[in-house]
Amino acid sequence: MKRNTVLSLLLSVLVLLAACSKEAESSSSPKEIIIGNIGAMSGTSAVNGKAQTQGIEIAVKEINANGGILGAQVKIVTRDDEADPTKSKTFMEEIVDKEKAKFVIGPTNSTPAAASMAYLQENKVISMIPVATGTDLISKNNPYAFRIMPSNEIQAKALVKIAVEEKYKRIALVADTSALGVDGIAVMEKTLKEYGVEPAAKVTYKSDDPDMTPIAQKIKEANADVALFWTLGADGAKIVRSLERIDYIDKLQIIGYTGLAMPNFRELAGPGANNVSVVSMNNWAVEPNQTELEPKYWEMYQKIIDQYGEYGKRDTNPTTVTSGYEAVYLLKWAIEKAGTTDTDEVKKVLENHASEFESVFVNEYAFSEDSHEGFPLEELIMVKISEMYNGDLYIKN
Amino acid sequence: MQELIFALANGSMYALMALAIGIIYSTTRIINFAHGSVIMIGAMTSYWFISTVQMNYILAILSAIVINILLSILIYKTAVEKLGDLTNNSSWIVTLFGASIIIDNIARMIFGTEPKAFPFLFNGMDIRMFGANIMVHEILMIVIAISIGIAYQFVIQKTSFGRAVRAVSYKPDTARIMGIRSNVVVLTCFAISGGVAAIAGALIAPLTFASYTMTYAVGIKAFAAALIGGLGNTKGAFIGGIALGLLEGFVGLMIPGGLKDAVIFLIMIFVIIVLPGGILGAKIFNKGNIAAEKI
Repeated sequence: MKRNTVLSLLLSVLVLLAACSKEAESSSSPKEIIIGNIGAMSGTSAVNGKAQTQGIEIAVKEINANGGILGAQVKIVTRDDEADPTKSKTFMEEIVDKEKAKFVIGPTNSTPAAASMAYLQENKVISMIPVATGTDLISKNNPYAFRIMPSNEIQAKALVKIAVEEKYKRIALVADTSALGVDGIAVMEKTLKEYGVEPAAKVTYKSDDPDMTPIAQKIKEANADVALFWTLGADGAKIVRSLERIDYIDKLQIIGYTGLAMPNFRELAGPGANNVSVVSMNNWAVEPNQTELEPKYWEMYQKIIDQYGEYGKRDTNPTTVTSGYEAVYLLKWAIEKAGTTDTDEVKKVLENHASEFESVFVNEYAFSEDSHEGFPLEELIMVKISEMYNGDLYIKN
Repeated sequence: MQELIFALANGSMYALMALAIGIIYSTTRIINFAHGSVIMIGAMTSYWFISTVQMNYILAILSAIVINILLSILIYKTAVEKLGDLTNNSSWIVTLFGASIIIDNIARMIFGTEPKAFPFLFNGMDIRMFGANIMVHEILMIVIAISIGIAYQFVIQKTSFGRAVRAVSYKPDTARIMGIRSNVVVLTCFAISGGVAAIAGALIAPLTFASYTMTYAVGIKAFAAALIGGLGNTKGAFIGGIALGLLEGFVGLMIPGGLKDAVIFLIMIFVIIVLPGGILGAKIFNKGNIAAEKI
């Protein structure tokens, strides 16, 4: 009996050791690396999911052709969540539980991304967020989430920074009454206070209102010389038209966040669009009188054109495509530097060594242990909304 | 002055939408919840005829009217007529909401999600009046809305079709016994409503931009305008629409934009409580009138 017990114990220990060694072996030399790709690929936000997927496809094709990651081929599991939080969470569970993905890219929309965030943290799944900009997605509560695009908070801070540095005296803040608008105007006001500046006016409106004249009147009454627009494209265009109608557009410069920048803004806003700028990524805006971006960014842009065509044939934004591309390469780099797919080790690399990563999106990622926001505030610049190079690249002011 | 014209233009927009709602309500006692979608189709098809087929403005709107009439007949035949007697049957709420969702989704697939810049009448020409820039389009919105209202009243009061509409509205069963084909009258009202919706869509679209969501924000206000004026009363729809436009214009100047709709709807609730039949349902406007005269 005693002999049997000893044998059983010995066997258990051996099984346990075998399992541990297998686990260690599978993390350091995996046969296949599965990455989830989730986002809205149909419905009103479809263009974001499409852009993310295009970037991922280019990256994976290149990586697999060059030997994969740690010798393993990369497999992408794609799901269209239609920007629906419930569907998104179900798909995310499927990707993690059934497909055994330790890494996911997306979701593209902030609410679906928030819906799966707790689940991803519980399972220690690293989520790279190339598109969603909701401020709360990146926080101490979400230690395995990393964002590539500038968040709403970073954009709001950049708007204020630019307005103050450009020496505007009377700054009006304009936003709609949605959660996004309230978030944006609150950050802008807080940042203004940090600069010791009081806003000349705080103007809010209900999105989709057909008549924006009262908004324009309030900006005029405040005698603002710059208005920071935390507005979506169509609403912003209506306000610009109203400002023109009340003869105030020529006395005002407007700077908006990226939500303002819709492709046909100029057509919607009319001639007043000449006074409108938006924040954009420094590396992805062409210098005035130049015909190309800096070489490595231009090379990336050409890859997108080769694969998916020029603007017009392709409806996706090149910066969003690049953000999806970069998400895959950041994972590749971090996994290879860690020498393992163990997500705690990969997380440490992203937090402590991101400056070593050779990016085609930013000069240097700002990831740290304190913040998983990758986009550096100083790389957001002001560009003219009404002028595009090659149809889809901004031109610097 | 500028604010007043803007408010009147917005008011005429609500008035036209409320008129089309009232035309259907007066003969069927149902509210066409697909109405916002029909207006949107009027705008989107007009836009398509102007931008893609290169039609002139008037021809494009006339073509959109024809399409909207056909669409409204289709809605009536599939989502209303099949339900039979609507007196004690509320299924139309679901069928018309369903029709609205289907139309919106089809429009999204055909026309895309991006708002389109719909041209103003006379290329957005401004006139300088009383120190303000008034757009010819806005003046014409008011003029066209009033003209349609007057024309509809003329048809209702002075023609045999109008008498049939009033008869169906007042006593549908008696009208049927008297030889009036109620179904044809109701179908014609749906068609007229569709035509008015096409004109409303083309006039509204330069202000809201043309998109499949263009009536989401204004649609609910059109229902409110119809209620304030007196549901089923087409003169009331005009008064309700203009009153709402003026109220919105002046409230918008005084309070933060985010609170504007809350204040407006609070005032509207108050009006509806005090005057359940709407402004034109008040006794002062109806001395000696029978129900059939209130259309």
